[in-house]
Amino acid sequence: MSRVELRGLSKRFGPVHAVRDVSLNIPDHSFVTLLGPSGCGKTTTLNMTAGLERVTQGDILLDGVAITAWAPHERGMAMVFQNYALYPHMNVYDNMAFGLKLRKFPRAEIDRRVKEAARMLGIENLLNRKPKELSGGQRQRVAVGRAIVREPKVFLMDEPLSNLDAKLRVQMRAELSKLHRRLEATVIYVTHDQTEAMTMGDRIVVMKDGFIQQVGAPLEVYEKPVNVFVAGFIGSPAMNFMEGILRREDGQYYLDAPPMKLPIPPQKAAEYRRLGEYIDKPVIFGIRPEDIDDTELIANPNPETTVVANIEVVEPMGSESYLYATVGPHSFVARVDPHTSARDGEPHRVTLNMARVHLFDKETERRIE
Amino acid sequence: MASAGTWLRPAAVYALVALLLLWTVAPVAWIATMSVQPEINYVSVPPRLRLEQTSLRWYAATLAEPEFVSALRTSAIVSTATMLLCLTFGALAAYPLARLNVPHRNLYLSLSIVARMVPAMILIIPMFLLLRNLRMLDTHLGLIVVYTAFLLPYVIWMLKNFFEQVPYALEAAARMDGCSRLGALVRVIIPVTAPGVVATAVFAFIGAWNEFLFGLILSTRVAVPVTVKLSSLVSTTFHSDTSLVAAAGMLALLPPVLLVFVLNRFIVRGLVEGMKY
Amino acid sequence: MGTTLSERSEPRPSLSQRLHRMSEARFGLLLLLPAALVLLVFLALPLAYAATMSLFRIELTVSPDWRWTGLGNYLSLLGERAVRDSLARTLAFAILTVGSSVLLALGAALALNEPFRGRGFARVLMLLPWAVAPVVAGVLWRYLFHSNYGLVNALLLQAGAIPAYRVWLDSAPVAIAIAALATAWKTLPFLALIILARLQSIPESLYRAARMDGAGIWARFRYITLPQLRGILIFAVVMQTIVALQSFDLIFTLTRGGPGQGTVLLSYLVFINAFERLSLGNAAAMAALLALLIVLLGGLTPLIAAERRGKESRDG
Repeated sequence: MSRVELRGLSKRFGPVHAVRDVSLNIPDHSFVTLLGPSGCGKTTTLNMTAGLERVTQGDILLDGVAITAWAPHERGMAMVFQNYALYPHMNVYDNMAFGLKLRKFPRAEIDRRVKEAARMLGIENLLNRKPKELSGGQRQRVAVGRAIVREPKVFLMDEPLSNLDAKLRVQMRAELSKLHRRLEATVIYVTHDQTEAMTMGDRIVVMKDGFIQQVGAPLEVYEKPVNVFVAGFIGSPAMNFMEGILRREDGQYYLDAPPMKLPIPPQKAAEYRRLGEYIDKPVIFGIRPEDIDDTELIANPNPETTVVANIEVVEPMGSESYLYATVGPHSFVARVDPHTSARDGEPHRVTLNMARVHLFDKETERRIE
Repeated sequence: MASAGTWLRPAAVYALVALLLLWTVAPVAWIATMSVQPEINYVSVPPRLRLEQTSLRWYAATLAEPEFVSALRTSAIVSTATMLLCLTFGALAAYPLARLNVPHRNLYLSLSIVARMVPAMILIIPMFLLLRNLRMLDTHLGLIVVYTAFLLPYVIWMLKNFFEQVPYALEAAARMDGCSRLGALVRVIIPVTAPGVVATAVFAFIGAWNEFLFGLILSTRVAVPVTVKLSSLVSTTFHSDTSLVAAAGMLALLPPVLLVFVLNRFIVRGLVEGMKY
Repeated sequence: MGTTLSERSEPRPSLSQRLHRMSEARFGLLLLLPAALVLLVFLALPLAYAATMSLFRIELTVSPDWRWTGLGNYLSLLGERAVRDSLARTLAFAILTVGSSVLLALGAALALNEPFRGRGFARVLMLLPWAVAPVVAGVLWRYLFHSNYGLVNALLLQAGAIPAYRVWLDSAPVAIAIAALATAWKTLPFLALIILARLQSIPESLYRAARMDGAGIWARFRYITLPQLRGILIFAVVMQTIVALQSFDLIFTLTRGGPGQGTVLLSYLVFINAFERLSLGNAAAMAALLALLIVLLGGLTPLIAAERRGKESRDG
């Protein structure tokens, strides 16, 4: 069993409060991602879990046992570092065997584990090389291998893919996911890349300024972001945010954002219980680029949510095109069909799918309840 | 670009470098010559050096002199011991200064910087009295301890600079693998900074070997380092063989010079990287 | 799968566990202890003792007593003729040393920065003077300029520059100049290396841009190289000044302070006061002032370094 629980974890560095009251339940064999911008406290939380950083306040439990005061090597956890941290004076074999040697494992057992991990990662032929002779991707595998041989209960990964080039990153993402399933271990994964979080995790923990903003499955965090920060952090390109006054006319809610007047479908409005309190008040509404279409290229465009936008730049991406547009004082990005006829500097009609709008309180930036 | 300058530049560089090397080597080369030629050859005006009269007999004579051999031995013992002591204490001290969150860390760092700059001259008398009270005058141990105290600030500073260059993740990996903090220092940090550690060791050894003032004051008969012995030879041998003095001088400078030539790569690194602020 | 509870050690705190449980601060202080002890007993204590001595009048040739004089020793220092003369000599020596060594080091660094055959060998050979003890360097240069068998005399005679062998070290200004030259010889490796290191870190792209703009060799040196070297040159000047102020060993074997008192620099004066005149209070006061001056100068260097770093990051 390898269930990790963080209770009220807090870390101060002098006056700086890096991590504030982080409580998290990480079930056995799950893959949890700590996601957030740099400085949000995700790495510090990971380091505290590993025992590399002292806890200012709070507790860490492993299978119900408090390990908060335990030394790193007593916790049964292994860590993969961002820049791999391979011992430069040892070859790959010794790098992977180091921890086992320190624990006085018998040589035969060390050999078995190292060879097996190497086979799993496809690096058997590199065992005699020194780290400086390896490519980035190879070094990363060795770092992962070093963690695997320990047969830990929990794998901790600190942005392991961020030093790889884009193509390699995509490849390694899939491999790490496969590894997770094969090893049946618990993984706590730190990253600032929301694509990695979305594709690799069972659950995402979004952090900012030391606080947890939201915890949930990838789709849940994508569909129901709990505040503006999470909404804007997840999804690429980022969600568009605009301001408008919420109005109600003839039982229909709509957003008054001159020159636009956007009706909110009743099903959507029904999701927000306290929507009524915001009538005639300014709200922040968000709509993802993928929910804005080129009017000409969709079937049954809703004329009520169609606007004429001034297209500033068209970025053809191949599989789709990004339109950077403005309507009056509002600017947004739209992800549209690549066959769009929109042109730089020309007006074009776009339709907003208001069934997928997100509404936030302007003061608190939290999702309206 | 005009081609007139293309041969001028390398020619100027070669000339400059040749002059530089000549200037560097000349003093030592002259003494080396003096040490293998009979005095009359180079005392005459102009000097008449005879190749066939080159001989190592002055070296043999110097090395037959028991006081001189004892001086060489003293220097060897004291320098090696000082180097080892400095490295041990220094590494232990440099690690927390480089890595750990010690309160008033900056204070200790500044203090060590100030300590490095204290001129030896101010300490000779109190040191003499202190060693006399501890009955360590004219002993190897006395010299070792004093030299260590004097070289420690430099050693700590250099080692700290080298330790700081090790990425923190390496240490973290070692601790995850099961090392204690000290274990990580010994098994990971020091091997990784090996070139820097070697450079520091050479600095300490040479610093101790070349030390003069303390040896002059604190030792009289038994534990006289070779630097002090040499200076006494220079002043007292008015009419005895200058070639002997030259040979003694060569013997005194040989160990550090050999060390430097053999380990030159580390020295350069140490001088440049170890002495940063 | 995975290691079970047996991998965790039971709560029987071994030494290593106790060390780990200790806070980082406590552990760090523990490690600092051995070095701190040595430095305290054999550096700090003598320093304090010497500082105390400087506040007393101690003339061992007269009596073994210490008579309190407060700042008396310090105040009378500048009044003493010997001190003033020595100060002047030391200043002259410092200027000569710093000027010659920094210039020579700059030239050496520039030359060694160029690619040429045998550059590696040259760099190694250059380290020679650094390895030689200052005492031995004094001997070397004494014999170089010896009146009877000096190489300089021999060469100059051969070249026809002088009619007969000269005695060099019997004239105080010449002796000081020779001492400055010897010190420059000794310290060239260190200075040249740090200047070279800085030289090598100047991005090639700056020079390329300058050549596109039409700058010739001298212009490139003046407008790119020199400004970039400003910080390290100042550092070299300060370091070399400290070396000059501390110089003792070399003078001891080169001239023994002679001719007469002609090469008695400040540190040598301290030595004379302490061990020949046995005027310990005076010696201590002089040494204290010298130490203060050096520490002040040395304190400049981190400030300059910080300013240099700040400037570099701004120019980035």
